[in-house]
Amino acid sequence: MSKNKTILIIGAKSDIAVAVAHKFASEGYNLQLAARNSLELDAVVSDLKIKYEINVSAYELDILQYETFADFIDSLEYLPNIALCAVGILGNQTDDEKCSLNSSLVMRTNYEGPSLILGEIANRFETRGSGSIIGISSVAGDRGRASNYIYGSAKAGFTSFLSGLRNRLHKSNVSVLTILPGFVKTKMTRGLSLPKFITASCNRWSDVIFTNRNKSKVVYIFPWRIIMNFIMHIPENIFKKINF
Amino acid sequence: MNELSGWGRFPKIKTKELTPQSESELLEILRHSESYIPRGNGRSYGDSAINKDLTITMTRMNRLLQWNQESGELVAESGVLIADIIDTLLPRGWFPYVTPGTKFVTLGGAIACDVHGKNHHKDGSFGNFVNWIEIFNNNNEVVRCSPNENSELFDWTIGGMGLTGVIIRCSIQLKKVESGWIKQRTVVNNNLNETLQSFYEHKEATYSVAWIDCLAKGKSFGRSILMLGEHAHKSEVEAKLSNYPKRKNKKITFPFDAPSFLLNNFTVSAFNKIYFNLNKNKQSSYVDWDTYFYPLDSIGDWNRMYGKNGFFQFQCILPRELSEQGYTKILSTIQNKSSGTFLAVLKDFGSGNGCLSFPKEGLTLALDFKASQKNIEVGKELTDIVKSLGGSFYLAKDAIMNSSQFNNDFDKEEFSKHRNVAIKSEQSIRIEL
Repeated sequence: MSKNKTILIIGAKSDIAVAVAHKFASEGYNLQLAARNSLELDAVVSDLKIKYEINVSAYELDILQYETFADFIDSLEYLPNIALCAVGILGNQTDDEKCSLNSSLVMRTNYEGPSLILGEIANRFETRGSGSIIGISSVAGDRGRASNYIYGSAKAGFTSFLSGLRNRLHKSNVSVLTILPGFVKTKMTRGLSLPKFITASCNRWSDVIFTNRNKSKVVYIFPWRIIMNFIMHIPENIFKKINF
Repeated sequence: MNELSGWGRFPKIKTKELTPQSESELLEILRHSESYIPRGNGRSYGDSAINKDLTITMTRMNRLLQWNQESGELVAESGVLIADIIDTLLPRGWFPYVTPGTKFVTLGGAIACDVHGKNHHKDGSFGNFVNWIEIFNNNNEVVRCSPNENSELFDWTIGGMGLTGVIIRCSIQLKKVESGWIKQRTVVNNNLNETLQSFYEHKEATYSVAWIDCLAKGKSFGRSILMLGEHAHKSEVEAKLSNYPKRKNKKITFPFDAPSFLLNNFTVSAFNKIYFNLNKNKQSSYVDWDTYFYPLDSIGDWNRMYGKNGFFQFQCILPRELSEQGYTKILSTIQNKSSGTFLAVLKDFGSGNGCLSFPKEGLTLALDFKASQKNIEVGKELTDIVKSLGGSFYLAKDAIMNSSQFNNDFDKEEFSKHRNVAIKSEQSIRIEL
């Protein structure tokens, strides 16, 4: 039993984050939920408390306010066992590529913010000598494509950051888990028509994340590792001509 | 654009569907929409929760907000499923007072249809256990209504098919139970008269419902099995069993649309004969809540059994004194037109509530029909019979009625004061409600 352990979920309003919260709560974890406009989490908080009879606290956090990160971590009632970051925005590639400010927002939200906050927490975990870091990145970071390379490049940065962090903390007792979802049915992908058999549900992912919570590795869901392997091995002079 | 249908998969209608996740997101949509209908989990059978322009599905507003373990009062968002409530609160000794035949309905849908269960004759319908409702009314405001506060709006909302406004959250009263088991016993009735009599004789039972063999002829005409149930006391539960059993995992899922020739009069009649004889000799027994209340929930997508064209339900109520005459006529019509109805269920109702609610004193019959042109004609014929006897129809099941068949015996002027004119369903347009 994992009684009395705590997970901090950053970006707690996202669909995957809510599914993760339910999964960990059902396994007896207490929850620290951080999000921007955290008042909107009220219903989620009461729901989790009633359903699982665990402690849930909500914290205000803006992933772009890097200077607040240290204070935010200090404000937590206690340092959690696990810290997961589910922050991300898809942006709109065709609009964003014409506007540096928009592009910058996508890059900072998907790369800088998540990396910096997890980096800060990782340092605390390292000092304490225990903890698990979980970052939700994306297969879009594996290779830049015309249709979403701003988002993809930021996720590539985040994936790379997590990889380095894992490498650095290998000898300490701190694990770093990289989650690489392909298509997931969430509000982020609402309106997109996703091919059914390679689209996962949030519950599928929350189960996978829970199973691997203390592992130091990179996780895809079948068949995405194969798909990305294939995509990454297409020679550039062919790749550049493919329209996707 | 999305194709939506009710649980009967007939009719199928193209619509834009939105699924807001928070009150602010919902209000943003409502304030900018001129024609829409709220939808729960899509378990009403026909087109009562579809609007061609915009259908707002509430299933993501599904959070429990407050729970009082002492009093059994639950406050929750309207997209919460009865299944979620049971999963969470049955282990703490509480169960919904009223539940329909599937646990996959939302609270908002249960209120809008004022659903009933096997205990209507004793406890009434779902609306009886609603403490208050918060609704986006026709003035574009979120207001609370209850039997004491905005009581007229409350009465029009219970059973109001969502037409008074989008239900955002509500407070309901649950029932204290000692276990998750039901003590069940069956009574065999050999003809229609015995069937009707038997409800009267067993009116003290908490739960009662009759399965009726609508294809039996001659002296067995109207034969049935009346199933009675009581919540089991803690002391009755076998020591080796869990006092509050968990929900059953889905055993099977209907993997494809059954070929439509599979359901014909011969197969249905054979099924009915076997079912009757299997149950005839059953003694009293204890069954878990899931098996007792929701036998069909254990077959995923059972609505595919009727083939790809779907099916429709027919549920009417007749005043008690006209029941024997009316149901004789209805059953004979089914037999003569030979339509093969798979599930026929009879149930008696106590007094009703809510201005537009379906349940009222009398006997109700529910039938399934494969959606075919022939059966739609039979359904219309049955509708006329019921209408001529002063009966009425359950809107949550209807897919075929027209405005003249709809029992519009209610105060239209009063209703128009509370009706939100932006809210329309394909059904409300069809029957001019």
